[in-house]
Amino acid sequence: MFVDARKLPDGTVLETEVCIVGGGAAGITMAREFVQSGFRVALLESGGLEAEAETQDLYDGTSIGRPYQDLTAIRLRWFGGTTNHWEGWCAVMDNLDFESRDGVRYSGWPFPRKHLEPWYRRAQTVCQLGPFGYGPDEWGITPARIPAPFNGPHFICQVLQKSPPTRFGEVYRESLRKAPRLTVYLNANALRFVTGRQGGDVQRLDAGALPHGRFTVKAKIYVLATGAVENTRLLLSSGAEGGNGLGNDNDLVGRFFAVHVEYVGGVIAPADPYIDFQMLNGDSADTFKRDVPREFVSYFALSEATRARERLPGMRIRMHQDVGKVAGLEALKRLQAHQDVMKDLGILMRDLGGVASYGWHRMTRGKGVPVNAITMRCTSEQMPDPDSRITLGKDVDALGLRKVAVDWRLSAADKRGAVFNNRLLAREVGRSGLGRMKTLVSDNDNDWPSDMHGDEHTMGTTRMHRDPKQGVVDADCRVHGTSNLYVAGSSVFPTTGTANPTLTIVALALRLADHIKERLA
Amino acid sequence: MTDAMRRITRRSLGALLAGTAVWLGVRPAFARTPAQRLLSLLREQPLALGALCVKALPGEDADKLTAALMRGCGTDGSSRSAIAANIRDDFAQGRIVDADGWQLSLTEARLCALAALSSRMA
Ligand SMILES: Cc1cc2nc3c(=O)[nH]c(=O)nc-3n(C[C@H](O)[C@H](O)[C@H](O)COP(=O)(O)OP(=O)(O)OC[C@H]3O[C@@H](n4cnc5c(N)ncnc54)[C@H](O)[C@@H]3O)c2cc1C
Repeated sequence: MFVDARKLPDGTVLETEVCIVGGGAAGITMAREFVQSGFRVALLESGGLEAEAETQDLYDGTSIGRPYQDLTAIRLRWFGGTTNHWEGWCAVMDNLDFESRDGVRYSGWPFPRKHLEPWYRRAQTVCQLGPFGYGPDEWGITPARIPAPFNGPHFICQVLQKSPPTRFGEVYRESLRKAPRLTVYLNANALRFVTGRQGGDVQRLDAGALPHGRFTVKAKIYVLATGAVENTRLLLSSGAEGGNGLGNDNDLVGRFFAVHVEYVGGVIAPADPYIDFQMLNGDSADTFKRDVPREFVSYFALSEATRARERLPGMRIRMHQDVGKVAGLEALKRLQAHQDVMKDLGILMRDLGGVASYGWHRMTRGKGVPVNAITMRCTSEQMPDPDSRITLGKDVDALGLRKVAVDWRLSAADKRGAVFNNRLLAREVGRSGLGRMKTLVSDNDNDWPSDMHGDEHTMGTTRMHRDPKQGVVDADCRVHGTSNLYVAGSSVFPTTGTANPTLTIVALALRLADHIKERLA
Repeated sequence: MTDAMRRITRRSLGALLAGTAVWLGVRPAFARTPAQRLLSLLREQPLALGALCVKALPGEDADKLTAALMRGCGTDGSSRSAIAANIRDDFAQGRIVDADGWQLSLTEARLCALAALSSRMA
């Protein structure tokens, strides 16, 4: 059932067994899991079924560190959440991403990737993907097809799968509407989890509907699933009156804010300008379909062995080719339109050599226009850094909740990792004979390439750790110091790797749903 | 002309510089883009790249460059394949020169630097 919370009488108290806050990838995944269970579930979603400016404005915040993205643009605040505009690229994190890595402080999840695999497999279905398969060979990329130096040992080929992309709010709307014991409250904003004076368990959730509606939810178990930034904001706004937030006894909530760092790391002058670029360029790799309609994207990455040995952040590389134009050929094409015939004839005559070269290479190499340059678009892992953080600012939103201030920082370790990785790549490019590479990443610790930016994958701010002194949630994603509040989403990632996060978010949400089902059984 | 320059024959210097051209390559002219402008340094202005290599190899004058290159080329220094092998070996052994971001093998960086210095002397 769907209920518009704006129509609830002021002061309503909703009683339920499980209360999920947030109807995005994580929240909807969990709600679906409870459809068949015997207990009552309330899902509180801030937005309606479509975008509304007043609700979207509730996402406003400021950037007080390195410039970060517009918080009202990267996140969407209506049913389905940010999956209303995600691209659907799905990848599994590397084994190493879960490990405690030598030389990488604060690294290590409470469990290895192997533990998460059963839920990764189930997440495939939720994200409307094909079978669980992330080895290049499973997609027809045999080792022989992978050009050096991307056949190891330092750089390897990886694949990600493309979801349609699943718009969670549309695809799963009907099944949730029909679920007998599940109610989705639209336009329902969580404002504050209230605990006793000493903190501890959540006693109730105060909620609001724009413009002034107020109601309360009382549940046995609460799940916070509002995305990494908002999960932080709600925890910092909750807990005992006058305190520093819920789950924040050790001043960890909001710290370790991480995103994937994107920049052009270098340019390759290929030794062979007629190189088979299809294999190198993930964009066109989706022509290799395993079985219709499943698609994948291939890319290159720093190998786990090299990352571990050299203590490096992960790096993913996608290549873009800069293809030349044959002036004579362009003129020839225009001649067919009979426009400026004399001018184009002149160009054609002057570039007969170019046209001949085009024809010859087309015949002998299958492609006539040479690749002049290959641009290396890099995605770097951000190393865990407690100083990169989200706090509450002074301004408040239309519901009276303090807005966030994002203090995004990159450390010297991040920069040195990027320098090392790009140098290594350039050397490998030279060693393998692929060409020569100019790296665009300077040695200066603070000076990133001018196009560098943090992407929209927000992570890390309620990190998972068995020890309450080192993490906000435990290995079950339960907020330390409470028995009935859980967190779902990428805020629990202790380290981020370079994989797109949503498949892991969905896998963790499925795992958490299983845990809660067991608890309530 | 210095002693070292005199010692190498015109033929062997020619071979060394031809070695530079082995990987610089010659291409038909195509329309320019920003990335290509960057690459033009490598492709069409080996001397500009050479100037970067001179900077990246401080203390190596024409004498030293020539001597080092000759040493790496066996007895007559004329073998293209010896140069190519040295370049491969440089990469394998990590003898890399950073010329304004370009990661070049020591041998090719020396070749480019020598080309630039020779043109200044000519
Ligand atoms: C342009 C873009 C492209 C992307 N492409 C990819 C991709 O290709 N692959 C990938 O893996 N990831 C991608 N992502 C990231 C992906 O969208 C997120 O990882 C994913 O949506 C996170 O799921 P979530 O449920 O944690 O949060 P969200 O999907 O953001 O859902 C949070 C929900 O909580 C609700 N909410 C917020 N505050 C409250 C409140 N106080 N009370 C009640 N409800 C609240 C919101 O309205 C929203 O519905 C992309 C993101 C963007 C911006």
